[in-house]
Amino acid sequence: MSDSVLADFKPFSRAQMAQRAAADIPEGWYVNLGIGIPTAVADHVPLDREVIFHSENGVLGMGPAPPKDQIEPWLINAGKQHVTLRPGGSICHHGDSFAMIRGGHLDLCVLGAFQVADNGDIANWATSENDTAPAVGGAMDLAAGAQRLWVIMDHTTKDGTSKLVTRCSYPLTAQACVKRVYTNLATLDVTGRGFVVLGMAPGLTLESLQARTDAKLHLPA
Amino acid sequence: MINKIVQSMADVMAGIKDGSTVLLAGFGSVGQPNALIEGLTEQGAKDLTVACNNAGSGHVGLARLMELGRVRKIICSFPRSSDPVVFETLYRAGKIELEIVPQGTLAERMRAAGAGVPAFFTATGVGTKMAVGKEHREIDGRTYILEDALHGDVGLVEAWEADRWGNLTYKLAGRNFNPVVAMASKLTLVQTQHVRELGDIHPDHVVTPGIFVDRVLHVPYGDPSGF
Repeated sequence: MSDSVLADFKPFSRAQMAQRAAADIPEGWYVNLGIGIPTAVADHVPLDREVIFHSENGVLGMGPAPPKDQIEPWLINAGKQHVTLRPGGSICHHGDSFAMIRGGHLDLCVLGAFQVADNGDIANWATSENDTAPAVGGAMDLAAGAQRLWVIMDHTTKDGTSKLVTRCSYPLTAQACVKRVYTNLATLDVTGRGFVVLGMAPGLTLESLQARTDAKLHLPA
Repeated sequence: MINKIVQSMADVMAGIKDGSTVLLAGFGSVGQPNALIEGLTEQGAKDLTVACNNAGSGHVGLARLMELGRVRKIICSFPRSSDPVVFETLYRAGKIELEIVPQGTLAERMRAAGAGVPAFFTATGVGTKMAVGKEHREIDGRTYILEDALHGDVGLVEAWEADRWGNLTYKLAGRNFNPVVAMASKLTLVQTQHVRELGDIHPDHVVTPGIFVDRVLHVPYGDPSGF
């Protein structure tokens, strides 16, 4: 890596990653947020912008987490955390909840991932073909069923390996469905040309970003 | 007079055979029929196939049933939990079979079973290891895989309210898999927090009509705790 590639820059924090995704969600969308950083996206959508959050276990219209003294023990989300319902919120069973997902009724799903390929493939549920006891949950349904899938993840693994790849080496969750990726270094759209860079962390150059990315990066046409 | 309400756990569990497929509702500890799982453990049926979203936690409930060597196979979407030690030990030792199913496919396979649909096409899992060995079909330009209905010989359900015809309501996220387990099972067993007089549950509020229910036991344990 040349010195110019290692120029000073400031990666986005986890809160900033969630904030950037939240800023792009318009009023009226039905949205499912995965476990981890995606869950934090809801905290950055102002309550007066009516975005309706869905959880796989049949909860539609989730509000903020409850104060500790106001927990409703019968109301949890798919991450098994206590949640609240907004006025207008509703409950359905698992079959109907996944009909919302699989029937294409969700405008958006935001998931974490191990890898995203430049054709939109996502790998986020197992890190090897021989995972001792792989756990998929609702990830395959969400990835294949939502109108659009965004991913929030670090740009590289801790040892610097790119998570934006030309072909996922981990077992796939779904094919060709990721539309946008928010990383700690950049925001990218997945297009017919591959990854298109929409924005970068302050101080980062395209050359420097490309040096940290396996897949070929493009600028908007 | 129809009366599906029974007075003892032994009456609820009567007749469950070795080798049964048991559909178990619940998501986390909310809406999970823990008393019925204990009852099944006491009842003694073995060589069971259990379909459930998670594969048990700690050493109680489903985990205990597995630990006692009574479960041959688990069908679930997420075998991990806060404390999956029993499942993982058995799985690594090759003493339990695992079928991983995407959560929505699991719910839909139960609903299909209840609705008389023997199999259905879905986009979930296409291009993944879930699709290996399954029939593929292109419909209107998109590829789908064929998934089979999942019937239960026995279904374990937790309700909030029940009447003697077996009409059920649920409380908040306690609904989860309960309605689809009820409709997919030949013998649907229910534990309920409250028993209501016939007619006291408003017809508009019944979530699972009694036609899907066989036996009901009153188990007023209060609120769920822990996951």
